[in-house]
Amino acid sequence: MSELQKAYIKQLKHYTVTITAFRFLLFTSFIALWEISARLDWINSFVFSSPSRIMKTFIKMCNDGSIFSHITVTLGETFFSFALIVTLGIGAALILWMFKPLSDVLEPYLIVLNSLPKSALAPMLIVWLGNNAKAIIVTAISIAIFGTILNIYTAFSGTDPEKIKLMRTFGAGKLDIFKKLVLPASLNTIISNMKVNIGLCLVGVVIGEFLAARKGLGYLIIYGSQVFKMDWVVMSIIILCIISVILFKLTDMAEKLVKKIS
Amino acid sequence: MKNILSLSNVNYSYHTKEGETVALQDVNLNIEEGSFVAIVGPSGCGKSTLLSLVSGLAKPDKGEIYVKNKPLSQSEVRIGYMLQRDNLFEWRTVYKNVLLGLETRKELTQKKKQLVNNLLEAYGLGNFKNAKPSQLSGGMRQRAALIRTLALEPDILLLDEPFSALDYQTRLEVGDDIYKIIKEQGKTAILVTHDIAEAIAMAQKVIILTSRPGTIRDIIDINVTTLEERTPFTTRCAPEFSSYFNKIWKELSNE
Repeated sequence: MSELQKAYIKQLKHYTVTITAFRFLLFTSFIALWEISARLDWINSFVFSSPSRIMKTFIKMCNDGSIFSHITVTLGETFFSFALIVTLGIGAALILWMFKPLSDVLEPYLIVLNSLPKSALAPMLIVWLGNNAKAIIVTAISIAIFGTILNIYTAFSGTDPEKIKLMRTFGAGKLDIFKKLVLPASLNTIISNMKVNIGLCLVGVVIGEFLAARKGLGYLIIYGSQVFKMDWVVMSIIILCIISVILFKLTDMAEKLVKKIS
Repeated sequence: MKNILSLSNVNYSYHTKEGETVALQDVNLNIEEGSFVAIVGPSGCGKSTLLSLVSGLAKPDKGEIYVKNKPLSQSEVRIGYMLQRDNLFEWRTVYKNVLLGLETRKELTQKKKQLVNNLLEAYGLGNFKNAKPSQLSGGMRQRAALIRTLALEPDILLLDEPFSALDYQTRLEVGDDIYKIIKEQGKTAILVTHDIAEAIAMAQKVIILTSRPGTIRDIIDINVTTLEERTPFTTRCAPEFSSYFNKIWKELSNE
């Protein structure tokens, strides 16, 4: 390695270390400032909570196990709705791709449904489906499904026409073309779409839990705010932050895995 | 020699909202078994359309296509089609790409796999079976595409400007390679190109199409004297080459 290359690598490392250090600094100083402000009564810790109060609440709820059931419910609903979105999204996009007239008929409706603020549907869904997990899952699905269908369908129809011609020269039917060409060619779009969707599912589940739930982090937030247990609220928000980071990392890993095997 | 392919009074038009475009008009053509024929013409003259019709991807509006004296739809003769770009699938290895046609036709037998392996070995891709297409050079990619077509053991090979996406140097090399492969395999080949020199270099017969609506303007037999065996490369060096070039050039520009 030449001296210049060494210097470059060193500089690169230095930069990464500095960035990480500042990230950590920002985090710790935020936590410290928050705690100090609460202790010195600069802010009202009853309203704003404080890191130590949150930790105390968390430990207490860990001990009686209640926090785990809330987290499990929220995560379970998120994963379930995510799985349904993946299946329904790809399935619907496939049907639209197979039958062009159908997609031409439905396109304006999909666009309207996609641009609609879907959280507006949640109260209605709860009236229809009842105060239960079903309503929450449907709410979460309604948030992401239309965008997913449009997005994946666009990827499907963007398949290189010359490659489709190639498949036709082999006598391939539509389903063969889909399996061997369209689906693998759209895999990247599908995965990046799923990366967005897992987050959207969490959003949908929390909205659903706001309105209809006896359990879950969304329920904890809305209930906590009603009874002025701000520690619950802020703790739940922090747990949601951690969950979304983990979910993002998981999809990131799934993406790398898929890229490796395909 | 026997005709393997005959077109009689073939007509074809494209339809769009803006109107009708007659791509081919009254095309009559006979192609002998085992021959290498090139079709040249100005861009948009329906050269590629002709191949689509012969491959059965499109049906003529009028006229008939016969393969070994049978209508195309009833024919058992197999037709291989090589497109402009190699269209290798990046998510498959070279080997898997080459098997794509057999896989789609559900003809993936042990015997065919052996044939493909032999072809890969014979044409310098034996060590690249498990490589991704992006790891191959332009010329190797085009050879892989040809093997993918040959794997189906076609009697007639349709080549739709298969070298146009390559740089000039590679183009000459790949042209030479592919010519040799086709001759070795004894296939009938129809090459569509807008490159006059390429047409003369590779074909025994050059068919000149007029601009839209495409119809046959002239058919020129290429007879060259070469020192060694005839290949595209030796043909380019033949004394007759430039007179053929001028002749075809004139006919194409006298539109």
